[in-house]
Amino acid sequence: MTDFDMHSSDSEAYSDSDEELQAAFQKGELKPGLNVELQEQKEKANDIPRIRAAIDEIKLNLPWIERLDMVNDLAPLAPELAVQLEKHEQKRANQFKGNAKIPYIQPEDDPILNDFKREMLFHRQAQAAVAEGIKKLHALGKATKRPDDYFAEMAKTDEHMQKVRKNLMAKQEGQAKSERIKQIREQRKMGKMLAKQTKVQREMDKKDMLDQLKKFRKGKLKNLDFLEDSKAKAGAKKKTDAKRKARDKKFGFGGKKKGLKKNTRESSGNIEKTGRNFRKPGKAAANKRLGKSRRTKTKGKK
Amino acid sequence: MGKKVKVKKSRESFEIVPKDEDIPLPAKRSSDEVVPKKEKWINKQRVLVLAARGINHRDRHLMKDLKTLMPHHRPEAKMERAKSLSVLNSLCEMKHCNKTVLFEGRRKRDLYMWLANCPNGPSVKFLIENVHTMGELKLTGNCLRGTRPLLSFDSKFDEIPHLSLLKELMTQIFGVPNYHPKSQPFFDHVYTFTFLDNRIWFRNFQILSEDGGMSEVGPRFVMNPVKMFSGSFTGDTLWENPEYVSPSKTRQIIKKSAKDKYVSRIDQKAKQEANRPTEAYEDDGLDIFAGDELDAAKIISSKYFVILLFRRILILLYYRKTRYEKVYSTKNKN
Repeated sequence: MTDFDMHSSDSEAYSDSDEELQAAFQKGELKPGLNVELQEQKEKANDIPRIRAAIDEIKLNLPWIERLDMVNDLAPLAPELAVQLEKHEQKRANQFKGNAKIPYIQPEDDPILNDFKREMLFHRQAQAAVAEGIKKLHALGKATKRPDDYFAEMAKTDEHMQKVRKNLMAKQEGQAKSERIKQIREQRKMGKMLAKQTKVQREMDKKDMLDQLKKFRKGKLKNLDFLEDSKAKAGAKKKTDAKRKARDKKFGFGGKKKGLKKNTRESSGNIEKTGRNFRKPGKAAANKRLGKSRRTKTKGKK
Repeated sequence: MGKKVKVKKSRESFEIVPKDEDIPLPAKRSSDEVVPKKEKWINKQRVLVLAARGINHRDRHLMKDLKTLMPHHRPEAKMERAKSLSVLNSLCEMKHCNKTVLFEGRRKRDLYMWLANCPNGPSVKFLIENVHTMGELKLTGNCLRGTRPLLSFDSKFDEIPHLSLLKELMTQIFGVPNYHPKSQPFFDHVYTFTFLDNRIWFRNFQILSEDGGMSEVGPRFVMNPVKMFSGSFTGDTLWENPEYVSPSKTRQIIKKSAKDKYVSRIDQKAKQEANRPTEAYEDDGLDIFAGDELDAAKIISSKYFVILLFRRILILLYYRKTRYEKVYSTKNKN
């Protein structure tokens, strides 16, 4: 495209006469290769009278039942299709919200949404065709449905249809599973919130209790009833933190992170490429595993 | 008493239901019914379906699918590529066919389809894109082999001349003739041809219920018309697609743009390497990076002359541009 644009702009700019061009060439302003000769755009054929003639020539003048062709507009959008469309849009929006790695696309330009809408278009056209066609066939006295006890070869074999069914089932199962996992995650989140709240509550209780105790010591309170209210909740199960430990071991834990990448006096004076992002030249990490042939050899010795 | 009887009579006469003149037809026919003789087969279309050498597996399956859906087809062995396409006219005549569907592959990736009315033309060449065969598991519908499809075209096919020619040709090729010996007398699927984005989109739906329940059977593909000829595989061009760009051209453009990206990246790296400073700034004993930014700036301004100050601030800006901005933005907010 860019090439084409450039050529067209060239043709506008360089409308000089031959003498001017020759002068420019003598000065050395023109060099071979800078100017490209424009190829004339060939007119694309569209011979409407002959097309019409061809249609007349091949047209089959037979009743509709022999041809079964129809020109259809779209059927009105069925409510279940509208619901489906809305669901799909919502799902796509959630995808954008949930994953920052997917670049956001406006819903009008989204190819995935547009694909869905397009298929819906075809579906609706087919629906309109069926509504019209079946009516016409019934008007002509044709039976359209096949009886239940009528068996004939199908376009897809039974084995294939079994496969299709299996695939559908698997998909549904997967969906149910992911739904369940989502629920569990939600529950865990709620649990964490609750735990936080109870922790705060417990601290408050403790503080209250200590305050009361202080008051009692100073003689402002006479009885020790408050001690019985705040029972120490023993046996609170401590969460296993094996996962946390494993992660700490893998990624490190603690230490200062702020300002690690800041410039310092040394780095500003240093012009060498040093830093964590620069790969140091030299040997790669030694491969401890021997090659296949040597491994088999040592195996044989044993 | 007499009066009462009279009343009864009038009621009885009122209750008689008038006989319906047009009885609704049964939606199903019983299997015991005698099948009417099929002498009414008048629309004798025979379609030769074949491929030129060099189509890939998916396209071969597409051809197979179309064959299963078209009981009026005649099979033919793969054609050698070197022959000119007009050989097909005589082949058609030998096979008693009057229509041809030819699949032609290029580079094992692009598929072209010819539809031709033999032997007098016209003929059309399409580029076939986005092929999905009937074997795909997401297409859940099924239909009887050999039932007659309803053909649905979108309204553009009546408006644009070359499309109405295509409509006529496709109706004759894809439509199964009435009372064809291998056809079934039911209607359980519908083809849609939709003109969208300068292409014709083909879909095949099963009719689940006659009030609009559908499921897709397949195959699905998109036909991008390239050229129309007046003869069958010969003749003058009747129409040519002005928007058509060959797939190899598009691939070429993509490759070229990718090349630019690589070259510019290499260029950038080389430039950076060339412009890398060889000398470090002289160390003046001031650690401008330690402590608060504004304090550092103040110290510098108090210690040095204006020119030096200007230079240092430039350096400072260079290294700590982002941090300065942050500081100022927070100050302004406060």
